Amino acid sequence: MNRHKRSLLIAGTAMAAFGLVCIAAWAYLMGLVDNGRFDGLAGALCGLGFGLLGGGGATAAMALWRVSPDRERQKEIEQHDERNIQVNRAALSVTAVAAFIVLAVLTFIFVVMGWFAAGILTVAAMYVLIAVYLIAHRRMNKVM
Amino acid sequence: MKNRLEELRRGRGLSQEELADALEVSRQTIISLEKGRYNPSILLAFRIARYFGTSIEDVFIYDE
Repeated sequence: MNRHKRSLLIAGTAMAAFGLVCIAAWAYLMGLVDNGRFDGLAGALCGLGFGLLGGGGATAAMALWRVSPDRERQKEIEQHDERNIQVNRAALSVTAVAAFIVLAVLTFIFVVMGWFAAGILTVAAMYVLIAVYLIAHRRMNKVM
Repeated sequence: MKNRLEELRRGRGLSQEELADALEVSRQTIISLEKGRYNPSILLAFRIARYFGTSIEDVFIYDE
């Protein structure tokens, strides 16, 4: 099994395991608390848990899926193809800018609707994105 | 950047897929290179020149 497939298998298994933990936490909360205080948290844990279980299982299955050696080699080439890497990076850059704009618009909408807590969360998310960009830029500057 | 990649490839009777296979890049990269839409890295440029047994300057035409 090559390195990429091994990484997929490990990541998929870890996701599925974490999903099971979330589902267990959901089941525990549902059994324990009756007053509805933790309904939101329980619901989030349920969704996250089953989502991670499904996604993790699919990721692990991708690692175990057998393909012909020719197709395997083609996939390997496409993964390391320099033009494909550049295209992916350019697309990610555009996505990052779009995410920032979406968060800004959401902040405005939340504030207009009077949901100030949600607005503060989206502003915090924007600051996190800026921090990630600055850290990544500094790191790339040193490495390249 | 203009290049003679298509000319050299056809001279050897190779398809784009065969050349992509030989250079271990995707066929789409070869297409983009031949159309001048993509400039290769220096590593890829060296590999292409070496594959055709010529120099980089003979493959890629630098326009000042």
